[in-house]
Amino acid sequence: MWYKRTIPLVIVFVIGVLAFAHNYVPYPEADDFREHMTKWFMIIGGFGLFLGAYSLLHMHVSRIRRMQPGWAYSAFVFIGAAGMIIVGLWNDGYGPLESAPSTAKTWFDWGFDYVQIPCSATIFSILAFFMASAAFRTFRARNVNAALLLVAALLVMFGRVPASESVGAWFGQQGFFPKIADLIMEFPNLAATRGILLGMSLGAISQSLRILFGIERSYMGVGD
Amino acid sequence: MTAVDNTQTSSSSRRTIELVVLVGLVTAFGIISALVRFPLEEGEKLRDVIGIIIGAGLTFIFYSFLYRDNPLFKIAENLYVGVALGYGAIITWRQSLRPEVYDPLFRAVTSEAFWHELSYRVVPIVLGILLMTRLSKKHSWLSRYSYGLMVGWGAGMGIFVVTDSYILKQLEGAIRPLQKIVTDPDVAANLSFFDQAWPVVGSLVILIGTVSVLFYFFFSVPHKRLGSGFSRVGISYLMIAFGASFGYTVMGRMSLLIGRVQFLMFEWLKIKQ
Amino acid sequence: MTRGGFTALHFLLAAVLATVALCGGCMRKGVRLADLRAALPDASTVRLYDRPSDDGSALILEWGKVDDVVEGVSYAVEVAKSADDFETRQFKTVKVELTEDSLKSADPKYFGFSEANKKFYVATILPAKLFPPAGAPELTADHIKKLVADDVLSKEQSKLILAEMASDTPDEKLTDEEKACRKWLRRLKLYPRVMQLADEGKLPESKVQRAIRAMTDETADDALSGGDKADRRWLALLAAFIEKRDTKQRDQAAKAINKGVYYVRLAATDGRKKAYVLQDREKVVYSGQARVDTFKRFKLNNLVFALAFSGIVLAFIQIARRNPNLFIRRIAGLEAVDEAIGRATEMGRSVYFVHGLGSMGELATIAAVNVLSRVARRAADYDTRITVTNINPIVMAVSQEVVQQAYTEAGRPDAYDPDDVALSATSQFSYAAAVTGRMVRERPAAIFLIGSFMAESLLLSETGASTGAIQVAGTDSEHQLPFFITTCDYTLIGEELYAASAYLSREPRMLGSLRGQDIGKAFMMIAMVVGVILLTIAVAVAWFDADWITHLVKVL
Repeated sequence: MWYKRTIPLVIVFVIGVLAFAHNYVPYPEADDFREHMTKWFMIIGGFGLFLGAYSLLHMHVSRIRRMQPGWAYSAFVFIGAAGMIIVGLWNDGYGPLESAPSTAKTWFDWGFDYVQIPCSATIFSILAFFMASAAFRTFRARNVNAALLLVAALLVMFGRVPASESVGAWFGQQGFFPKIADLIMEFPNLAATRGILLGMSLGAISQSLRILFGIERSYMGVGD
Repeated sequence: MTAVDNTQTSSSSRRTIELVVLVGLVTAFGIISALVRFPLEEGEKLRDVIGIIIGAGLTFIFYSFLYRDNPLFKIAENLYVGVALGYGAIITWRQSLRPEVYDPLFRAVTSEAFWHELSYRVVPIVLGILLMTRLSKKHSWLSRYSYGLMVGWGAGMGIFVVTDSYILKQLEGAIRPLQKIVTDPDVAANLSFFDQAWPVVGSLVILIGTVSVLFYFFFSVPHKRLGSGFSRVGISYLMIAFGASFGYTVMGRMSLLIGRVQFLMFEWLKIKQ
Repeated sequence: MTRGGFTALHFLLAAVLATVALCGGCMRKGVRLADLRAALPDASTVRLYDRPSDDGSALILEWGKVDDVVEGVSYAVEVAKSADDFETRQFKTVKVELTEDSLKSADPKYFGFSEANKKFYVATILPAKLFPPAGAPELTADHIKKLVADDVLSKEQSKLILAEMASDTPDEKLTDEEKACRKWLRRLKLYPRVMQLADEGKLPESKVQRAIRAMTDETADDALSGGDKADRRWLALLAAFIEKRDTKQRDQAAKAINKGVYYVRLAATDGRKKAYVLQDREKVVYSGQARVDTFKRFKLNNLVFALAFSGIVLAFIQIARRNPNLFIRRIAGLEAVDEAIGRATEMGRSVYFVHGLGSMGELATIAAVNVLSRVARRAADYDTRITVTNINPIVMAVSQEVVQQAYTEAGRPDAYDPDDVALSATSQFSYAAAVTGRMVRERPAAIFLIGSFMAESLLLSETGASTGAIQVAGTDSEHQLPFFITTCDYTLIGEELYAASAYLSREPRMLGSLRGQDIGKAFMMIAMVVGVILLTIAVAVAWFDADWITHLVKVL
């Protein structure tokens, strides 16, 4: 069916070619085109959020309806979302409790500052523990690659803490460990990153071409 | 059988202990918060103090996940997902839908303004609505029109961007003389052999590394004999690079943890710095 | 010696000193006319032309560099709309200092890397900047008088506003009251624009009245209520509309200005005197017109590389179509896909597919969705439940389409449940919390972490590893690779991620594109090695110049 398969692929091709070609043209229209597309994606993304919110809430409704294990916890999703949306819309974020808008913090800001920020900051900081356990996991692997990785990690990490200078001072080379860390970052790290990026560039170009020419269309749910 | 029974009793007794500990910790948290934060000090607002206590509570709850999943974590997790969703919805409304769709179309100041704004937005609005067809099983294929646009844009732009920022920039960095010429004769005379040789070694290390890592990614060459050795060099480079990057991040993550501890100490417990 | 004589001597001395100082000052300040003339380039080297590779907003005046110019000399480029305007002194001046930055070689983006560029100075002439389009009408005291006469402003209010109009105190030094007044003035500044719209018939009388009512109301924003508040908001919308309209009109006017013919003369100057470029004792007037060019020449290297690599890949796709037996080496991470799904089937547990943070326009996300389609198809074949966690709604929509199709193709469309491909959360760390929580509770047998990740990568993969699942990760975010390497069983690094879908499909044309990538890589390897050798030799022996090699790959 051409309107289910062909038209979307034609859209992909035409927009793709325009997206590629407009970069080489100094016409002011080319810049306008890019600005418009950015705005378009913002608008489509706005609609997308409705879809996403529906999907997220639907999943939790199903959990509650099917009484899956732990279904009661899903209620908190609704409490959190409803609370934020109500205070966000009501009185422009000032909520029902403030009589007139003032320059003070809104209830919407309150929800952000005292729920969202502590949660994200705490989860982010859990990484400190996870880095240790990930390193230990690698240590247990006991092969050459893991050893290389760990040694490099230790050297760079140690070179970046102030203590390394006092350790270096014991044998008269204060800047020894920081220097080692710098050397690793400057030479092997740069080389590998460059190799990864160069390889990736070709992979990306090749994938883009497969998509533009309709060879790869599995993202449309259309198998080959 | 007995063994199974044993584990069951031990796990159920462990659960009871855990529950007791949990209740104890929550009570302790409540008492400490009440003692430290109440009565309110001059200039403090009740809602801010409650907010800080909630924030501190959530901090502890998320750390409790490090031990194991527990009811409080489940509550906090779902609440957080909900709050983030609500926040995202309001922000999307305020920053994208209201200024880009609602205000220009539904609150257009003049009819000229309305038609002018509509002409720019009619396509994305239609595409946005088409995206909603995902909710129907029968017409969901219509959403392909919307995301086809994004995929096409991403693919086309991708070729250009990748060529600029990966291929050209990296080749520019890679292709340079092994040894920079030293034009100042006084400086050149003072350079030791080591000083002169060192940059050459460094450049060679980078060149060999880049080439061998690229070789590692070869798909149509069997990694045998010489190739195997060369790609092994590439893997070694990759591992050292990953290790370096890992080690480089550790301090940053530690400072996040310190930040949380500082929040608990200075803001929740109000310990003076 | 008398007292008077002593003073006279002093006076004389002072006069002599002053004269010397004055003369010295003159000599330092002024440059002799002959020296100015000597600084002028030969008239034959002066050229006025359209700036290449641009959007038609600039003209370039170029002239030969003159050696041994006396200090204190700079160039003045005089630009007029017609040759007669020079007589009436209606011209604008662009000043060009004699520095490296003014040389043609300082801007390789437009002029290239030619060695000869070091012998020319250039002046960039931007007509729309020199002769800017007329601005919007400004608020004047007359407007305020009219508002008072119309009884919308009181006398006291008008005094306040007039005082504010005259004030030039910076914002940060104002008291709160004055700040509010300045805000109010900002609203009132719309008045002439609103009246202009009304005169053009673009704004009906009732709306004009509403606008005037809203802008003359001096109440602060947060003290408003009811209808006044609605009026204030409406005024903000009107202001936004007017601003947009103005910008558009200004842009159009600027374009028209840029299209005009401009007349230029060149002079050497010391800041006061000028010596013009002459021919037959007449000041030479050059004329030129900017135009919109069709191609950014400075992006030529990008275009050549992009087309060359595209050509190679497309050629190999064609070759593979005719000769489908291509050798592709084993990629462990991708061989593991079947193993992982098989294990999930045996254990009767689900397979997780965890998307990264990327949007649908990102290449890594597109790659992830393509991999998902292969994974979902295999899971559907094995009748294993697959759960896809999403953070981006549009990626979710695509994933739903892909998974639904996989089930349909496997002959079991009813087994597809959209709740399995739902949005897990909407922000980075709530996503991490939701997905890790689910991993711990549902204990999937296999986890695929594919796409572009940020700091949440380790949170997800470490939790996954602690549940004992087989993990296959793939990302192009080079900073997250170390974390996947340390915690996942298999990691697809960069290019392998992009190749994954092709590899899993086993379709000849797709595999052909991988072969094409290899040729591209070989080319880059050779280019790097040869480039480094040539440049090193060039530096070592200095017999030839090899800078052109770096220029070839320079991003401008």
